[in-house]
Amino acid sequence: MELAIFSQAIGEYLRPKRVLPWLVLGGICAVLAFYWRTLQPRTLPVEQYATVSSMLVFRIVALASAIFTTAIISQEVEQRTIVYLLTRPVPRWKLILIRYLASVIVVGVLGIIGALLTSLGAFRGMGGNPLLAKDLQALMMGAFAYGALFLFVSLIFNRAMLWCLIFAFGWETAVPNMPGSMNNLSILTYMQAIAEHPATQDQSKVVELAGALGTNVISADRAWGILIGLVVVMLALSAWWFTHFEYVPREDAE
Amino acid sequence: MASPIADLTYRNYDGPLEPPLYRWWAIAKASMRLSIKKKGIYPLAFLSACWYLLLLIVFYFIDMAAQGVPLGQKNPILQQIIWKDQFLNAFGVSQLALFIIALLIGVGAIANDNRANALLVYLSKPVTRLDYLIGKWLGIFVPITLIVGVPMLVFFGYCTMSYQDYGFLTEDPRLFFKLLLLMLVPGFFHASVALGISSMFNQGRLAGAAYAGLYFMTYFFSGAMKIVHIASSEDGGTTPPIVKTLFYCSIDGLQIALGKLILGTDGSDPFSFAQAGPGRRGPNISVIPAPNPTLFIGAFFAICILSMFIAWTRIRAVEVVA
Amino acid sequence: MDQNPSRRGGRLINLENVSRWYGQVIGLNDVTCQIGPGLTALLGMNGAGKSTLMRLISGQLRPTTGSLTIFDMSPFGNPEVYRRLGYCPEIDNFYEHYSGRAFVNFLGRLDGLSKTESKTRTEEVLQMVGMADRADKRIAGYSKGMRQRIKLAQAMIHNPEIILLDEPLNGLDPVGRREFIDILAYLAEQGKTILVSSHILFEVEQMTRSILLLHRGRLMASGDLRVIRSLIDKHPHQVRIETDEPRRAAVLLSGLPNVVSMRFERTGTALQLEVREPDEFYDRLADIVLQDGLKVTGFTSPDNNLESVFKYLVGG
Repeated sequence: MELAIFSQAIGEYLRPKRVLPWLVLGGICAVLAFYWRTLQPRTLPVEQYATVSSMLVFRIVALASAIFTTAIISQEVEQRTIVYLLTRPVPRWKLILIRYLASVIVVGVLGIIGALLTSLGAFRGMGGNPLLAKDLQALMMGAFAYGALFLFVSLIFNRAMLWCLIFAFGWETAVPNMPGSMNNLSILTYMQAIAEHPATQDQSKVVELAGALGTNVISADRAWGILIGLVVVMLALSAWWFTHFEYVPREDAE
Repeated sequence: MASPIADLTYRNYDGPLEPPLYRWWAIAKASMRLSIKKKGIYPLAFLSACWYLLLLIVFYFIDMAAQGVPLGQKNPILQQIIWKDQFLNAFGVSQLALFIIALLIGVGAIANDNRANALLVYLSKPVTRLDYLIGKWLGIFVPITLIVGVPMLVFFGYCTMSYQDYGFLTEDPRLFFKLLLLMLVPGFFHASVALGISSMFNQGRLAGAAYAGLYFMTYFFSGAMKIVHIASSEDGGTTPPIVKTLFYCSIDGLQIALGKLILGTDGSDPFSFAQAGPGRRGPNISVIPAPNPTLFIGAFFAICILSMFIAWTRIRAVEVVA
Repeated sequence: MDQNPSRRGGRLINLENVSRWYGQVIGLNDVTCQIGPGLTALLGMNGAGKSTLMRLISGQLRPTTGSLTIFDMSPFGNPEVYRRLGYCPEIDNFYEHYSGRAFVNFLGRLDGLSKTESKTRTEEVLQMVGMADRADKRIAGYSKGMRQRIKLAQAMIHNPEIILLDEPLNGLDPVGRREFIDILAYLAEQGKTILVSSHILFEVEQMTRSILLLHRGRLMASGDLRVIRSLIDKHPHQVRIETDEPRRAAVLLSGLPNVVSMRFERTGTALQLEVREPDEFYDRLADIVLQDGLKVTGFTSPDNNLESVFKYLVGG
């Protein structure tokens, strides 16, 4: 039963017309990384990779999470197929967690493909990228964290995707650059702490625009801990909420 | 005795018909009514006008701080302001809020009709595809234009009243007309592109996701170009021309490019007037000059026309089951 | 309280003073009833609360007040209940890119069937609803009738004890309707508890005489249609008697205390009566026919049907 839910969700998310735009985006990252040297001749491949990765690939994960995670429940409610899922002998918490897992895997894999393509573009090949391993971990953890947060948002708000997008691009762009400890309120900050990108030369403006890349002082261990904590709390809240509240398409209500 | 055949004369209505003008206007009004009922657009509209408010506050404190300036002399900071750059900055800052408003009121315009099979109803009336398209387009264009235009013109009025002595009207005598043109840009662009994208989906959510993806990815691409530009400037080198062009290759960038071309300015960093000499811009490290007018005005209209063409071809009176 | 449903007359679904509010609007108002094996029709006009009741029973909604139990359990989000309950919703939405077969099979897997079991049952139920040879096409290309059949198939795949069908006959052609009704009759014979909602009275009449009648959220009547009808004393029954001697019949019948009024038809071969306590009247009519030799060639009760019951109860 669990496998059926998981494979159905994966099948839904991996439909070609859904995945293709993300692969195109990954391709754009690769092309950008490849031509970065033309635009900025004095940068090293590792800097090219780090800039494009934090500017675009990390954002792809946030954007993909906003889109795929809201599909876990909001889309089912919107297309009114939720009724088929909720009248089956599957505990609601299990249903939501399995579908969450499927979405996280898809988002994570899309992020990883983006990172690999970017690395390919920057290094003109698959080898020699010292940042890649940690980036992949950061992207996967980011997929879990954004997914858990957005899942909860999608359960409690109408127009969840809009709120998730505002968070992913408004909040996550502004907050990492805020003074004091405000940047602790951003998932991107922790992803960057896990990725441990080196500060790119002394280009303070560049660093700022990229979202505090390499400047935060959070240790990787602490970042892992906080993101895992966030995931656990958000998933527990989501499971509880989804188990206790009604999810019936509103226009159906008499 | 009643005929055994039902009276079908209603099929041949020969009463007075409204002129065609009202058909698209009816759709536009319905769309606008729907838009103004969405509470989310009000805080966003406020956010989009925030920069003007901030400028007013800053100007007020600059005025206050210069109480010690001898009579007959002008406030030296206000003298350094390039007025049309302030409009350009406010226009740039409002882009994100305007985009979200377009998401709220625009991307579902056709997609939701597709889903509800409302297109079948619309097109079963004496409404042509063009009526429908124009109606929907106006339903997005008018609210966005008002949201852009009202604070812009209020700020213009305030500055006219307060800062004529500082060259507000003499700096560019045609500024008012340029602003009238500028305020049409976001509405025109978002209405066209949102309709094009909306017509390709039968769920507003997916249309929104597609538009948001396009917006943010081009936004960050544009940001990447800005980084290259700044890095080159900090190194004391020159930015490759292609970077300056690519910077404008985003939804925001294209509109800001048009803003610069309409206002006839390269722009300046926000509040850089505080560091500049009289009548000059400040350091302006991140400012990228206005782009090639032919290329970008052409691109603007090409994208709008292409989007409308897509919408035109996708509006069909068929039952949608998916 | 007796915990065993079978000892309580086999009533599997129990509602006690159930109300459901949507904000300021009441969807269901203080409904108390029990539903047991066999086919029961849930009747009511649009907006009467039929779908609300269906959603409450299928555990998608919770009652605002009152208690609702199925197999003595609360149905809301309860997997134990769903194991034994099949639900065919009113909505016409599917995973459109799935084939009918894949859709039913997927939901079979969600019902806890093993892979092979689900496959076997999918074939069985598709056969039962007449879709076995057409189920490989994408649902997006299905007609309304095919969609209804697929919805019924998914509700039956795990062989549930209770089947809830929300407006299942919508969009079916007359042949499809007949087939559908036959399937429901077959399932009812198997001892299933089937609740079918509808607002089309003549269809319901063909299916069952056991009804629940909702009007503006209230339960107006429940039970056997004939019993309900006979209890409605304030509305006399209409009886039409066909005879070659209508005037003689009128003289003989006018003395009966049950007859409220009578009227001759223009054709001159029939008499229309309004009577109270119809069972008693029919006994006396039989006596008259036998003792006085009144020739009766036909006999009908034009309003002893669901529509008239419905009209009487809802004031239509």
